[in-house]
Amino acid sequence: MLAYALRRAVAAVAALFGTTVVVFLLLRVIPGDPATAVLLTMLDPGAGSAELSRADIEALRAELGLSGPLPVQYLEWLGEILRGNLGTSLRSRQPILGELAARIPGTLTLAAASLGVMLAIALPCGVLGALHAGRSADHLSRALSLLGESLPNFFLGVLLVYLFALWLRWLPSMGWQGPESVVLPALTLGTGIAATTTRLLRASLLDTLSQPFMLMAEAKGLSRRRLLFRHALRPALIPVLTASSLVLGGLLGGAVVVETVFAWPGVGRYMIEAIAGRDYPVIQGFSLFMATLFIALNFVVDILYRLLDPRIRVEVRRHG
Amino acid sequence: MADRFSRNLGAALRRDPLGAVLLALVGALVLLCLLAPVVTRTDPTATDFARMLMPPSTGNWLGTDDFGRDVFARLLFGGRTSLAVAAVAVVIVMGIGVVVGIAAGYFGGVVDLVLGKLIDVLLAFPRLVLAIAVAALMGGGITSLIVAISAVAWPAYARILRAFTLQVANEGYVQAARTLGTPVWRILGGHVALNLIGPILVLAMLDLGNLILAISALSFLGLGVAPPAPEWGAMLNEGRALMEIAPWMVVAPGMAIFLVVLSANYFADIARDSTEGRAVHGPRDWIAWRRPRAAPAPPLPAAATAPLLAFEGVTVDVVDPRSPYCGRRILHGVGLSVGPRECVGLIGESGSGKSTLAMLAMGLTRPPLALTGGTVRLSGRDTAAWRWDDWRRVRGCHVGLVNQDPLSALNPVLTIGEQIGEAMAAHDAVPPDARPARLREVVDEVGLPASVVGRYPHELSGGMRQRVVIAMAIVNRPALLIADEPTTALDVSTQRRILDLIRDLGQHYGLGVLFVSHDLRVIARVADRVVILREGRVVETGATAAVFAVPREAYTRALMAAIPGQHRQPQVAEV
Amino acid sequence: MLSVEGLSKRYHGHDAVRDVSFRVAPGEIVGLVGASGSGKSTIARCILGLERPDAGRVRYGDADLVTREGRRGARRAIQVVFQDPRSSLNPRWTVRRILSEPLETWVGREAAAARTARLHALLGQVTLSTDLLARYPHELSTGQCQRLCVARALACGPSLLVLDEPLSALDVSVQARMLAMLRALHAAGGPSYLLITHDFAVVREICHRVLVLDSGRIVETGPVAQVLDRPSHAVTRALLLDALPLPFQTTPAAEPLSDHPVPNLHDATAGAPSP
Repeated sequence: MLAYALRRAVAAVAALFGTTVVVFLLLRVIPGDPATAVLLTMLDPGAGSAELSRADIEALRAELGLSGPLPVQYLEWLGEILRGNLGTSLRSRQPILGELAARIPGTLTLAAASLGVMLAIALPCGVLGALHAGRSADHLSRALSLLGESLPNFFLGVLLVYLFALWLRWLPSMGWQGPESVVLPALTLGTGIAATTTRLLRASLLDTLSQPFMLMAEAKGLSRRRLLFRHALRPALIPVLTASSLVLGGLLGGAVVVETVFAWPGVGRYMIEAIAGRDYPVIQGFSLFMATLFIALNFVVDILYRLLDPRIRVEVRRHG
Repeated sequence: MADRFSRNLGAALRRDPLGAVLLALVGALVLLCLLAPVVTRTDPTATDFARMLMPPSTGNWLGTDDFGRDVFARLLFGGRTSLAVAAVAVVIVMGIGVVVGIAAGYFGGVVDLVLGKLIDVLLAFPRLVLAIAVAALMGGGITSLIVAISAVAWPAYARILRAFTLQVANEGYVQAARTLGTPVWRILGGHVALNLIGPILVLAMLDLGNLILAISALSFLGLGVAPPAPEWGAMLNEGRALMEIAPWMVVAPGMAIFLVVLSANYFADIARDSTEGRAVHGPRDWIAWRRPRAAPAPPLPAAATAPLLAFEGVTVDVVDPRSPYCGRRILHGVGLSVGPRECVGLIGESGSGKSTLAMLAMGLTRPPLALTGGTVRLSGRDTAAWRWDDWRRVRGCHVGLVNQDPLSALNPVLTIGEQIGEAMAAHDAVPPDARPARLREVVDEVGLPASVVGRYPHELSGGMRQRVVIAMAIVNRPALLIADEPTTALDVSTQRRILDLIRDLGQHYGLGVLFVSHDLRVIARVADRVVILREGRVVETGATAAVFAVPREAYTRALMAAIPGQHRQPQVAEV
Repeated sequence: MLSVEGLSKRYHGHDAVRDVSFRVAPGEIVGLVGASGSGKSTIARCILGLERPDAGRVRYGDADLVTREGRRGARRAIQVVFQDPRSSLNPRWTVRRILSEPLETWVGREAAAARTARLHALLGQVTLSTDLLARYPHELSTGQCQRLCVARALACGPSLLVLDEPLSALDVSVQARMLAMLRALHAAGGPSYLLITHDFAVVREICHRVLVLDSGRIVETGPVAQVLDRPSHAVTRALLLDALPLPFQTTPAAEPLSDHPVPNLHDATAGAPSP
């Protein structure tokens, strides 16, 4: 178990390095000069690049770490990151790490609450759907997950705000005004990913129920409860966990959108605000943070996976 | 192929009115968007501050926005942008995904390693987050939107298609094509790609919805088309601050996105679903709302004179109208009985209905099959009225089952000890305090070391797993054992040992055994009596030795003649 | 004709095949027998070029089958029939296209009538009806699929046919007819066979010579009569002892092979998949 966790941890760190390369290269492969683009947004709209001084551009290029050969740029940039320096925001002139850290709890609260909503919806719906496959409970759960997957979360968010905040006035609509504020954003984000998880769980449980070992378990005369909880559910959860990075990706990506809809004080909204000002260091810092969080969550899932499935060993783990 | 596809689609839509309605709605919407310049003469960007925030009316079907622009015109022109971006993105994503996936999957080696690492790194980001970052760095606009969406969406496809390709490349027909000397490009086109078309189309369909959602989300965040030009996600963003005054500004684009995504998901769901349809095990009423009524009495054992198992004129049909074989008769009035301490061998080729008969004895007949005539008796009692709970008390206690494939017969996540132990815990045959001792005893009786109790099935060989299955079947000391091809999946040597084990245990416990097999040699080794089944009918029955010595029926003689090893190839002189 | 010398192959750190050497002469039927996991299929895959051996040589005439060039030259001479006939046929191709695949590579373009005549001749060799040309594999019985696989292999004009457990997926009566067909094909001047099987009964029926394999090594080799009736190695004896005997008395030597009764239990159209 420990060896397994260690090997997954090594893989996770390798993935982290991969993401730094991607984040580093992104800024350098986009068409046009980033420094020029930043300076243009700081001037009046409509100004041409002719009005920028050569010296200003070079100064900003140096600040963004865009001068020198690529490998040297990367190593210097990576060194700064490893020392905990994500750079300085071009707009606020504050260290990005501090600004991010102030907003991380908001995003984590939203993500955790949404995961809770997801589990509360997906587990019963998926299990009921599979057990009653082809009957009304199944049709209902499938219809709901179809709706959930198809409704854009920004649209759902706006509708929920209208219904519960503006019309019924039960809940606050924007920002953080106490614990009840998290209800609407979490519902918005949670229902979307719940739909995907419900579908995965239903399909996986149905597949497990058609396995020969379920026939043998039934032939032993086991009770319903034992058949479902002991024999069917655990193997059925394994493929759901395998596909969980899809769901977690939806969770983090959706968080950016939902934070924008609800003016939620999280890293997503921080990043969206930075876009207009072409605050490239902030965009980079945000991407790195999200990738780290995603890799960490996937690591946790890998460990859970090992607990559920005695067959798995690192060597035989296959992607896809 | 295209013909078959359209025929299938037509049939599916006739059976599915909801799908037809959805298809009609989204078809109309897409058509309206495509023909936008013809449908409406209004300029979607023309402002008119005299007509701001007008509710829907005959002049402006969907009202006007805060610049006095016609929402209907903006919806149609915006749809052109949204749908065009989605279409372009799907083509790019599928193009890259298919090429990379097939290349990595078929060629393997270095190609696979390099592409695999690239995919891994890109998948280390949450998809939408990376898209937002790319679009943000590129500074918005349609091009950056398409690039951002395509760049993040292809790795997932490539990975799935790589897995599919690996699967197809290991199929016999690709291996055969390689030995036939078929050129690689023809293998990739004719075998691999042709057999991937189905999955590729389903994937494209599935992700079309996701791509549209991602595109509109980026536009909503202000990373799509520049402001005055309309786009659904951007329109929604413009309208959300005015939700209370002008809900139509939000509802119109929101519903448009919803409708398109919903129909994409709906048809993807149908396409994916067509692969389902296997028999599902377990009770039909999983959630027993009413406690099962107390059964009249423990159903077994009863009169010692009655046979343990008796089929009387048993008829089984395919009754599920959805099955393509609906109405086919599997068993035609089969009669058969198994007495105490007797081993009956049931011989039949594939499709003879022998396994159906075995399942019938356990009450495990599943749709699309159903018992439509005759009686199944256990120890003389008619089982016709038995419900799942009645059967449950009999299964594993009075009747044990050993089936064909030991590799899939054990639950992969439970230890051997748990799986044998729970068979005891489910019944009262062994008192709780005697269970640990009985577990050790039964493991020893089937010839396994005591250490297997803590092991998982994947740590055991096929022969050992079949011994575990036998241990589960006999742990409660049943009267009757159903063995359905228990040695077919095993090696010659393992086969003989398992056969001898079943025979010895049968004698030790005084079991009645119904032994199903297609192999006359196997049956001859274990059975006292044989029943020969052909296409659902009993052809011949009698004592084993007598039947094989003097077969009465031509079919029996043909089966006997077909056993290999009775003739010898003349030897050639040179070697 | 085919010679294998010192063939070895490792998988995941354990030896699948260790230092295996044997030859197959023209016109010979050689059986390769062993328990599952003894390395039978690995040897076949190395001969077919589907797997690269770690050590040793596989030669066909003068061609070295381990190198790409050698394989290209000898490719059409060595063909294969796999265990599972259903997965060996592309489900989306008709019988005509399946049979034409090797012809396109080795014969090239030809007039439609000539191609059809060739296809009919191939089907005739494996005693399949020419009506099947327009069918898809799922419309054929398992036995018909296996015959089709043989016909496809024959289309290349091979001089050696590797038969990898060709009977295991078939019903007993279909097995018997398949064996009779293979025997007739060989008698009519067909290719040599390398028959991979776990069943000594099948070896006795058709093979001239037999190689017994255990944990990747050849433990015994010789003419069928000698190995099966007077086995010298313990592994062979154990395998023979574990094989179940016939449930009735026969007089094998008395029965002439030429009019071996082939039970015909099914007509050509039977064998639709059971639900």
